[in-house]
Amino acid sequence: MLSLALIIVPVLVAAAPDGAALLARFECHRCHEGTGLTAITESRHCVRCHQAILEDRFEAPKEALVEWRPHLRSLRVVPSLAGIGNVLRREWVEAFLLAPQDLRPELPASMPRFRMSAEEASALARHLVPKESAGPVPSSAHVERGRALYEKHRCGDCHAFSGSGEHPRGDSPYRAMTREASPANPMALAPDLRFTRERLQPAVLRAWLENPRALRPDTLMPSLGLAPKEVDALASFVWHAKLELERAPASKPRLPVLERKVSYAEVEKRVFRKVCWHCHSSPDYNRGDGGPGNTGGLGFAARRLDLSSYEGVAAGLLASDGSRQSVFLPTENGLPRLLAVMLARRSEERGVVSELRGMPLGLPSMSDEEIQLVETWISQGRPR
Amino acid sequence: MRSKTASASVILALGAFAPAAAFPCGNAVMLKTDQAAKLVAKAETDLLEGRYRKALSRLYDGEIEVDSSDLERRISLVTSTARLRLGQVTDAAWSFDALHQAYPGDTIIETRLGETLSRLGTKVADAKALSLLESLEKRDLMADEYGFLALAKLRDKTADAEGRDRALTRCRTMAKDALMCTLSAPAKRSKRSAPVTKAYGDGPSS
Repeated sequence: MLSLALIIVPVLVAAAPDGAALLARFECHRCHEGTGLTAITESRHCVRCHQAILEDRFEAPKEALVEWRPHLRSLRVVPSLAGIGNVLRREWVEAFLLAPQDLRPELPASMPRFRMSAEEASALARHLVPKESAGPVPSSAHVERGRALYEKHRCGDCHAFSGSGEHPRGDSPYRAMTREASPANPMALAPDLRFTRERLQPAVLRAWLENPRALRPDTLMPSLGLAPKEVDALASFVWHAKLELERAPASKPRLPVLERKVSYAEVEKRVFRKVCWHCHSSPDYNRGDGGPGNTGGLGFAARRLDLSSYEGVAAGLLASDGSRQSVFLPTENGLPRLLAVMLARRSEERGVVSELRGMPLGLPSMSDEEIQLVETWISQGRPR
Repeated sequence: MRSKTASASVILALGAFAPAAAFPCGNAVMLKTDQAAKLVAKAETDLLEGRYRKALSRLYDGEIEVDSSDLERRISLVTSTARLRLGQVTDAAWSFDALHQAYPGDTIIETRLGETLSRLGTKVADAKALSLLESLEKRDLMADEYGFLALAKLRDKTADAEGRDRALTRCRTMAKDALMCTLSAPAKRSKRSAPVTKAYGDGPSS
């Protein structure tokens, strides 16, 4: 019996995923600082690369930079992971890794949906939040006083608090700044406070309001200089304010296919090149990196889907069994895969997650017109 | 290992059939990878727009420093396809065959190899071409209209009228100029086809 245990136990120990290794495998340091991993080069770091383009430091012809900059809205700034173990609930982190939600309304991009098992999400959450603070949830006795403080201190200048009746301040100078083309406006990082009660360790909120930087040194949340009773009241409001049920936007019917002819050149210009290339391009267009959807990355195996040429699109992707698979094959709902993944992203934005991973990964879904264009092109037999 | 095989094939494809003046000794212009990628992209545009000789000359005018197997593959695809479109079918057959071995399962190469073999004019080559192109059609992985045209011609030879028309329809749907999707007389057997026809059979196809 003992000898059996000696065999089984090491096997079980070896099989448990290692959090640090998972951080590296999913390349969290390509977007986030504060991962504890060795820094990567700027060209591999999504945010630093985007910032370099916005700041004119990127090695590319001037005319290219001028063309790119107005389109570059996503991943200009991303929250750091430093110190998140001091504030976040482990259970929430685990759920978020498996089904990311849009937490920060001012950021166009959200956390991508990784190919991550429940066991891996659990291990990563344990690594990121090794220990949670014990303590009571904030008192519910001072909600209205807290609301008054929320307004007095203009929390809505940076934060949304959806469902609470508090609305982001339209006249906020900070929110206006986030829409400028400045490389890294930090105000965009302010989370929607609706999620606070699920995200934060209950005992942490008071300490956070008292001195945020004591918990996360690189946070941009200012210390408000609140008296202890004010801290209690504000925590009471954020934790207990009655929240209206968040209604997911209704699924919109697709626009009908166009009657005019749609060529590959048009689809390439308006969709593939504009959106898809970043993750599905020829490696030669991006210093040897064809992107996570082609040469692999962010924990995804190399699927070899190259959307940078007509032939590349026609060549499809590498299936798990190593064979090539068309991106036009019908999925379970009968729609061609290329179209189905674009619609899946819309569902993800409404909180509906399916087996099919929505595209573009972690970015806002395609517009009605872009989807219509792709659908028309496919229905017309994919003309050049 | 695969990379070595790929490099070897590319050297074969580029070197074996390059004109003697392609790599002028002592006058080589070494292009960095970024520049090489741009040059290849231009050659690919030439190819798409029917400027086959221009595509070849772009890639042979200077010595391109390539440190990416993807770029090597793209260069070989351009040069081999340009040769095929210029009627140098035997040369193209050699290089596509080498590419097919270097990049197994690459459906763009399979499409071009199928098209090339269909133009060799031997029974064995026709059979191999038909097998390749029908498999691509079945999996909806045909890379271009030329593949469908070749398939239509092969099916015409075997009196598969329904299959031929289906392939022609796909060709016309995909092509910028649908007029290219017509059946013409079977291609003449290449005079320089001896080594390749040995590999794919000597008997002329019907």
